[in-house]
Amino acid sequence: MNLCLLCSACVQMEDYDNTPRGNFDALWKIMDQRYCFFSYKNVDWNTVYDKYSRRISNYMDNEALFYLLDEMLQELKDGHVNLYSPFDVGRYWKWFEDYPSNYVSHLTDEYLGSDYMMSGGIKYKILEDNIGYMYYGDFSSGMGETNLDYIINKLALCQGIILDVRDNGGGLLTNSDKLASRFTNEKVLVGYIQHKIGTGHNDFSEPFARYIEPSKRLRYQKRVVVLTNRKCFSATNDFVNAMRYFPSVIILGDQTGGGSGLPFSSELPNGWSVRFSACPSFDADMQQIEYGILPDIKVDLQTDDVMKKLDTLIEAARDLIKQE
Amino acid sequence: MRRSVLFLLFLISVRFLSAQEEQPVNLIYQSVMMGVGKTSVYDTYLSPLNYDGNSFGMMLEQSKMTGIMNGKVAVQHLLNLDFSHSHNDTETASDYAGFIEYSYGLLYKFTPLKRTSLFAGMQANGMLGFIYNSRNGNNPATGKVHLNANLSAIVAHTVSIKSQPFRLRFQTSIPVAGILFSPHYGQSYYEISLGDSDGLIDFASLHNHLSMRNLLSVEIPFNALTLRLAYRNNIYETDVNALQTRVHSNSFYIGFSKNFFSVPEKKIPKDNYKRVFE
Repeated sequence: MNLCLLCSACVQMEDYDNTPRGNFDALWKIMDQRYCFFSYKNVDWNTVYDKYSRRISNYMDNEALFYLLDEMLQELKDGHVNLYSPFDVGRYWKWFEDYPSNYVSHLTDEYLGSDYMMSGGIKYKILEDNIGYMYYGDFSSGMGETNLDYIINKLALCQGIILDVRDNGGGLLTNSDKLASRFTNEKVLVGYIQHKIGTGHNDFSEPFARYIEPSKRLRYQKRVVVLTNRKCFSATNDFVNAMRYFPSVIILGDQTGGGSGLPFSSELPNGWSVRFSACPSFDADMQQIEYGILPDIKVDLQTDDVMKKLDTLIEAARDLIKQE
Repeated sequence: MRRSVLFLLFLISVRFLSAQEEQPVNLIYQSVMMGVGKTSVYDTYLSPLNYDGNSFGMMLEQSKMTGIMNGKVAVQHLLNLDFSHSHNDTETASDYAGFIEYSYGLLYKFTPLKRTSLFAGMQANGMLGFIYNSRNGNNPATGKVHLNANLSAIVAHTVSIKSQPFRLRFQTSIPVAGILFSPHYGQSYYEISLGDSDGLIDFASLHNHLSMRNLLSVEIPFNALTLRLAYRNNIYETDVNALQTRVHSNSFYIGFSKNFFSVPEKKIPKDNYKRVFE
C-alpha cells in the first residue's frame, strides 16, 4: 500500500457488478472507449445511453437483457458488432439482407461440376472456353503460398481468370494480402489503417499506409475479373479494395458489404462476449469503405439466367475476358 | 650451492602454497526450484475483467562472490519461468500467460552481524512473455517485453536449532528505469506486422511500471544437497498507452541448492571456503 502511494503505475481495476445494470454499463463503456466509427456514423453514444439506460432493471432476466443490449448495439449499424451469449448471437445483417444476393451456390456448382480442383480453400477449374474460374468462399480457410503456386500455375495459360468471392464474409487479412499479391507486378498503395490511441471518440493514430507488394512467387499476368456481391464483407471487402487498384483487375457484380473496421473482442461481467470495429481502414484516397465498394461494372443476377442454370455475373465476366 | 638454491625454491613454493591455501575459496551457489500458486491476470488490451487461476513456475539461481571491491561484490544470475492458466469469474473464457525472465545482479555484501549478511545492488533485468485470451478474435494475445535496471536487496541469516542450521533469505527487486514494449490502445498486431511500430517502445519507470519480485526462502542442509523451500510473491503492473496490465501471483516453491567448488577439490582444504549467503 505504501509503495502504491509512491508509484503511480499501480493499476486500479475496473469494478463491474454482474447485474443487468452492471453489464449494461460495462458494455456501454467498452463501446464508448473502443468503438471506432462514432464520428463517421454520426452516432451520439451519450444519447444512446440515456435512451436505453432507463429501460434497464435489475429484475429483468437474461434474455430481456440480451435483446435490449443487442438493440442498443444495432444503433451502430455495423456488421462487425456482435453480442455473444450462450443462447443467441446479436447481429446486424442489414448490409446484405436488404439487397439482392446476386449469388446462388448451385449455379456455381453447375460451372464447377464435380471435377473441379480444390486447394487452400479455393475451388478452381478451367472452363470449356479456356477461362479460369476460382471460387474462394472464406478468407479464414488456410491458404498457403504453395497452394497459390499450384493454382496460378494451373490457370497460367487461361485467357483470363474469374475470381469469385461472392458470399465470402471475410476472415484473415493476411490471406487477403497474400492472394492479392499474386495479381500485381508493382508495389501498390491500396489504403490506410488507423488505430485508437486513447479512449476519446476521435483519438486516432496517424493513418498508416498499406501497400500490396508483388509476390516473389508465381504471379498471374492476364485479365482478372473479381465477382462481388453484398455479402463480400470484412477481409473480402479489404481484398476487393486492394484488387481494384491493379490495372489488370476489373470488379464486376454488386457493391460489397463493407466492414472496414478491424474488429476486436471484449466481454461483459456476466461472461457474454462482444465484438466491435476497433481499427478503421480506408482506401488509397483516405475514403471510408465501411459501407462497401462499388464495382467497376454493375451486374445483377437475372432470373431468366437462373432458370437457364446460368450465372449472369460469370457469363458477363466470360464475355469481358473474351473481348480482349 | 645447488642444494641451497633448491632448498630456497622449496621454501618459496611451500610459502606460496601456504599463502594460496590461506585464502578462503568462494563457493558457487546454485539452486533450482519448482513451484505452484495462485495468480490473477488483468490486461485491458484483452478484457476489462480480472482473471484468476493457477500458476506454475521454475526458478534457477547461481550466485558467487567476485573479486570486485576487495571481494565484497556478489554476482547473481536468476532465471524465472512462469506459466499460468486463469479464467474470468463466469468461467466462460481463459487466459494463458507465460513469462521468461532473466536478471543479472551485482550486489555489495555487508556483514553487520556474525550470521547475517546484507546485499544491495543493481540488476540488469529482461523479460519476454505473453498473455493469450482463448476467446478473442483479432486481439487474442498481447506480448510483454521489458529491459530494466532494478534495485535489489537481500537479507540472509542463519539460525541453528538443535545444531541443525536453517539459512533464511529474503530478496526483493524493483525496477527503477528501463524500456518496455506495448501496443497502442487499440492497435492490432496485424498493423504492427505491417510495420507501424512508432511508439511501441516506451521509457519505463515507477510512473508507469511497477514490478516487484519478493522471495522468502529457507534452506535446510542435508548430506550432499540442501533442501530449499520458498514463498514467492510477484507483482507486475504497467500503465502504458492507456492500457493497464496487472499480474499478481503468490507461489510456494520447493527445490534444492548446492554450494560447490569450481577448482579441483584436492587443492582446497575442506574447511577453508566461504559461501555467498552466510
